[in-house]
Amino acid sequence: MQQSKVVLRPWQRFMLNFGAGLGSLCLVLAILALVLGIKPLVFVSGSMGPSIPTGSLGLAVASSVEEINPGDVVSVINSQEQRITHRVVEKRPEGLVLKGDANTVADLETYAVDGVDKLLFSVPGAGYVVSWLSQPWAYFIGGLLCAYLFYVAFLKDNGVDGTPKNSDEEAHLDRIPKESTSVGRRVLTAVLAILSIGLVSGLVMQPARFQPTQAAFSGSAAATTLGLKAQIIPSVPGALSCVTSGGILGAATNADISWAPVNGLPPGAKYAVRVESTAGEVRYLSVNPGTEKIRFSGGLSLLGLLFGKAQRFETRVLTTITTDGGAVNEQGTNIAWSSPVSGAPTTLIDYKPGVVILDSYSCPKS
Amino acid sequence: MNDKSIRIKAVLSLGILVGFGAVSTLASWTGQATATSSISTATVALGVGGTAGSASSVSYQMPITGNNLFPGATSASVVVVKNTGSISAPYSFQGKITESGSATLGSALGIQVKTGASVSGSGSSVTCSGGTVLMTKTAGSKFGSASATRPLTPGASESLCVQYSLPVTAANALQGASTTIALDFTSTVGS
Repeated sequence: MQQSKVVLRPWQRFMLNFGAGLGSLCLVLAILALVLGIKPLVFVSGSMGPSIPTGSLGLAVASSVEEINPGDVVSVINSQEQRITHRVVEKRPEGLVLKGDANTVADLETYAVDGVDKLLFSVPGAGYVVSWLSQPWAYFIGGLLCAYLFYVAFLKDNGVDGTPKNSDEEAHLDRIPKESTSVGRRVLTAVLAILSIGLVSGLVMQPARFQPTQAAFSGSAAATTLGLKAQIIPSVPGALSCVTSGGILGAATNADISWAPVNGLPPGAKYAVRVESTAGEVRYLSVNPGTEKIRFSGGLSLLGLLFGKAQRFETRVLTTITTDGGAVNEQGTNIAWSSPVSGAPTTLIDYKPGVVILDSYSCPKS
Repeated sequence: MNDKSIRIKAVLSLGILVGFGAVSTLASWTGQATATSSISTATVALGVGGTAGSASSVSYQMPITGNNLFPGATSASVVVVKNTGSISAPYSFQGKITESGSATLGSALGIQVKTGASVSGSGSSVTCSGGTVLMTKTAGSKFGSASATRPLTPGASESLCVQYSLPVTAANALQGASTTIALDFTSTVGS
């Protein structure tokens, strides 16, 4: 049979059928991938483990973000142009928050994407096969196979001149395999062909643009400052002393309030002498640390509001920090922090407006 | 099997090469010599600590340099982050506030994270001087998004200085409050 025109041995027929079947599948899948947006994905790292280990092959289909729900596994391209396939944790207006199953933390990047590839299913280990078959030697073998098949189909027959197309030729070709092959060998050939096509299903995925996807392992660590504390501004200790002086005819014109210095005041802190009238009006007088005293006497213009009529008013001394670092203002509006009013040392001062000449003050006996 | 079908089959077999070709033109493979080399079992891990030598733990409590805060005061702390994995992996960090009690001291703080800075000053005015600012949280607001990623080769480390400042406008209710500020470091391969 060597002398006949296109006579194939069983294994040659097998190779031809194998090549044609594989090639057709490649073409069909390439077209499907282009038309339907189906992408095979090879997982090159294990952050989706254990459900999707390293070396898995997954099949993903293009979806819009609206169709995606938390819990879905989607594949996106990150800002570094790398493909990441992780599970959706949250859908935010600014994008998708993804997290690898094996990672303790969500991805840093929030993926602002319009469309994603939603993973349909994955097959552990199949990615290795695909990856393995995409090396240069695999192209080489594929090329050799094609070249050989072309040789068999076109060149081995030296008489490609239009003459072989007749019914005799066909009958002859049909007859040859029957003569040279037993039924068992034909069955074996068919089984081998089917098995081979099954075995190369990984290879078949290649035309559909399989993509390596960084399931991206993450490492994490945390540094904390436990017990970062704010101070409590120390209060004025002890009691206030009230001493009157000056004046004529037994009416003192000055009342001196003094108190003990406060240890541990923050730099820039001020004393605020809080004066409250019987009507509940409050004014503040600012005293710098180191002075620890204040004199009430005629001419304290700010107190005019308070002191229009004879009354007993209450003074307290607070420690404060002002918002501008300067003196406490009359209304106390620039006080940021102050020691508590209720616990501050206090004293009462009796005030009488000057009937004839001067205002007078006295410290009532408690 | 006739000549025609044989030849059609031979032509169809060229589809195999189309399949191979599609793979070889993939942009995703750029820079990667072979597919097998991109499947790795590398580890990605970060450690934190006070010094590069001790930055092997995944958690670290930063000591605070400076007094307890009052309005206008600053304090600082230092943390070293180290790539303890087997491959080069960029890292990024995110700030997190955990308030203790009802007072929101953490929110009120202005926080700055710098690299290449040194702790200077004492008492109530300890700052991170020099260096480059990597993250800033303004007083009264939350932490923003994570920092930009920074490269870190295996075994390499980077020292970060964290500065806390309580503005002079801090509320009176913050007296005596305490808070926990955390920096969560994350490194991800390929991103």
